[in-house]
Amino acid sequence: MTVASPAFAANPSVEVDDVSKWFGQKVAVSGVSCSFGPGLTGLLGPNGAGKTTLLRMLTGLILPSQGAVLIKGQPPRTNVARYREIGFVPEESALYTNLTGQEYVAYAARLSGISNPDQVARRAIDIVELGDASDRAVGGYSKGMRQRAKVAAALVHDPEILVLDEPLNGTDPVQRAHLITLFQELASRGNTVIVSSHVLQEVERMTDRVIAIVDGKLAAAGDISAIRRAMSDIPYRVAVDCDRPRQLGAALLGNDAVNSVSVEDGRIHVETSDLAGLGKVIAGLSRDLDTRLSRFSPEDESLESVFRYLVGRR
Amino acid sequence: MDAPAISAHGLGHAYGDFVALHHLDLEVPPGRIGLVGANGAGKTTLIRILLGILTPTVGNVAVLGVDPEEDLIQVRNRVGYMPEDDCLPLDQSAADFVAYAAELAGIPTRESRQRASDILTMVGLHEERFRYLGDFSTGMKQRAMLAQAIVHDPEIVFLDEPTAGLDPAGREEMLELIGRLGGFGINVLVSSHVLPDIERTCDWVVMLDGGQVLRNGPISGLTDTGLVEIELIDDPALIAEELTRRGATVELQGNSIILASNNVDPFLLARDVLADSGATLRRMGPRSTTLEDIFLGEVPHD
Amino acid sequence: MTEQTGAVFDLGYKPYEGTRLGRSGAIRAIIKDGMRRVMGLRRKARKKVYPWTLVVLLALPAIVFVGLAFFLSTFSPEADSPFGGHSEYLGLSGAIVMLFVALAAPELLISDREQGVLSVYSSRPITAWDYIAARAGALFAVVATFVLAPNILMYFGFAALDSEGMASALVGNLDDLGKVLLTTIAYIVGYGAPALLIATYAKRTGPAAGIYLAIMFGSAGFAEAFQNVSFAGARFGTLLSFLQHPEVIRNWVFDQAQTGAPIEAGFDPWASLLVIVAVAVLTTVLMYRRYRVEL
Repeated sequence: MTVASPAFAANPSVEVDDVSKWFGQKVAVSGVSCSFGPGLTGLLGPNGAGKTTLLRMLTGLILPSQGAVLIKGQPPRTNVARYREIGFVPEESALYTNLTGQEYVAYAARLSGISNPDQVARRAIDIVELGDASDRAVGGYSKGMRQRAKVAAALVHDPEILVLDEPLNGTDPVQRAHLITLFQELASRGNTVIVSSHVLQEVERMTDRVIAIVDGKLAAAGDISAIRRAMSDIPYRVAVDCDRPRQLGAALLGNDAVNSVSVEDGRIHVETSDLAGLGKVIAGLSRDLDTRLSRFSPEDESLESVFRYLVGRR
Repeated sequence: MDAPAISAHGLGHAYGDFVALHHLDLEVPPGRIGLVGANGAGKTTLIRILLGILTPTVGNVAVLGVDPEEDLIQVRNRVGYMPEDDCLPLDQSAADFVAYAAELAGIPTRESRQRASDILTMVGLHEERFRYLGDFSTGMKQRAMLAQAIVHDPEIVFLDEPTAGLDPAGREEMLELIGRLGGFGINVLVSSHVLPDIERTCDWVVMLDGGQVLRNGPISGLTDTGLVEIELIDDPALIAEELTRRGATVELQGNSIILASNNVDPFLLARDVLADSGATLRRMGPRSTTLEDIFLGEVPHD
Repeated sequence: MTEQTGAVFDLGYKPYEGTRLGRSGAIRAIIKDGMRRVMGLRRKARKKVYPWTLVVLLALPAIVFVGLAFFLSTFSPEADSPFGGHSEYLGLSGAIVMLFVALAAPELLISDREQGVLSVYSSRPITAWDYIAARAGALFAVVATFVLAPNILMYFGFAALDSEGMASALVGNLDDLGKVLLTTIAYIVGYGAPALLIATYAKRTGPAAGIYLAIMFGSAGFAEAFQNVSFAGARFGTLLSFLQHPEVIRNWVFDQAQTGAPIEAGFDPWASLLVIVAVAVLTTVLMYRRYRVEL
């Protein structure tokens, strides 16, 4: 286990050491080793790929069949105090619908043995901006409000580690932006925040570091653009717009940096293994042809594209 | 067919004391329409009024030129609906239910079975279509729900949060399918909180807030800024300087140069400066605001 | 040399340009679906057990009886049949009808509501009225078929065995068929309407059926209790005997001796008819109110 590998964080608070989990014949997680430290890490994976199982092992809800999960150096289930360190926001609605928001969060506080639960609950509720609705029964909440209530309940004991499974489900754009800012703030304060989400564009906005689980195994880890660079066998695709696509396309094909060129609906798509080389010559080529270059954008650097390649590689 | 896809005149609706929609006036041309708004802004109420489930307290609406209060059957003959929550009977098979959904639109039995089969293949449900809907995963259920919404070849389909609960691959496929609907001649209204999804699949957006219309117009009109954004691999300072020297207005944001020019085409200017300097271009293109920027900028919140 | 030809056919989306039957086609589809749903067809096997068992129980005696009668040479219906004629048969059917609608009504209404399928109906050319009428219609059609068929079989069976010849028996006893029909309607509406009413509000099938059966079975005893109380107007309590009203109609139609709490409390059979109609009207109104909001 080398610290240099991007799967492992410096100063880790959560460590996953060669963890496997099987349910009868089905191997849900297979030999995953990684760690999480202060900051925000995105956890990604297709449905049914072991991501949810891994999350439940991180929070101590289930035990690994093999290997160990350590929370600040200790396995979560052996020491009850470890639960104080973790806040978990599960995907399913784990709410008592007849309690009000305030009551529910205060109950979560009491479960953690906090001495002034109502006060602490109110503070957590204010943080997620649920103040106006906190006197109403949770059963009447919209999905977005329920999500915020769950986040408040997870924050109430001020845990160092926060694990969130699809926390933005059902939230509207304003609430999303607000929650994303909240997670980033917590991360910058030194908390270890692990967010699992399927909306990859938002994960990209929240953080640079991701861990991807595909088919129960660790498929990729680290900084998104570095992961893309590491996929060197897959050439980059770049979209180029100009007013003379065929001429520019032909000229590009004549350049060593270019593998292939196609023109579709007036837009040039260039395949290159040398993105920097292409970026150096494109302006000059455009000028030589007296064509107006209006777009030069790599099409597959987004987390969505990277993820598609990862999943497609089996 | 030139009737607007959706229109509303003085539309208002209240649930008891709570005013969900307040004096809406809207005209939305046919095409691919996005509907965005905070929770409680009135999106679901609007859709229910368009479907004729709710009768507006005040004012009226029209779907493809027909008012559901005047001719409910005609409106419902031409619409499809994929609601946000599940709408599938768990004890029937997908093939059986989607065929039933076609029969419910008046399509004869044999043709219904054929249509259902074609549509199920199109949404990507193959052998699994003979299994009971109760055994389906979320992704499969979303596909089945989309299938029932279009099996009867409606003129307009309302999709409420169509990507909810789907994993990245599922989202991608759903968005791709939705994108293709326009090509089939089906108008689309997508209501979603995931604004990048709206940007990807729609050309027009209706923004609601607090029961009122915030914006109603083509997305490109809202998001085009006329500015150019340039990202270089090296330090942008020199290029920025040269651009300014040639008369452009330049702003530096991290590694990006935001460029505006009144006297010269900014794209041509950028091209020339880059070619002369030999700098390595990483990315260049028209700068757009996102729907999110617009939405957050307009909607008051603390 | 002949020209070679080839073509590739578009496998993509094709708009539907065929016939559309509109609202009437939709209503017919809902009725057919309702009938299938009630009999467990096109669904898991265990959904067929309950309804088909009841149907067999309902029909078997008639089949067996008529079959047996043909083997016995000296046989006179009315006198020799183990359970009398149509009237008695209908009386026995009553309990089975009640058991059937107890589960059939929830099956028809609850899953559509609780599983969100009403959203699909709200984007099809039908109104709330259409839906309610089609669902109720499916229930009544299925029950009517299974009650009337054995009776018709018996009718032809009796006629064939009649000492004075089949043809004259068929014609001469035609009013029997009329009585069977009226009585069947009384049972279907009298037992079916409350079942639909409960299924309109209940959230789960099991409790809906349980509550319905408890109310129906209990209503007779409950009504009888009112007979023994002596405050003014107490006898009106016997009108709550939902279980017995169809039987009162049956005895009335077949001109037989009347039994049951409402009769003993001094009410005319008209009162039973009135109660059945009143419950049906109430059910219709409440169903419409409930479904108008969601459809």
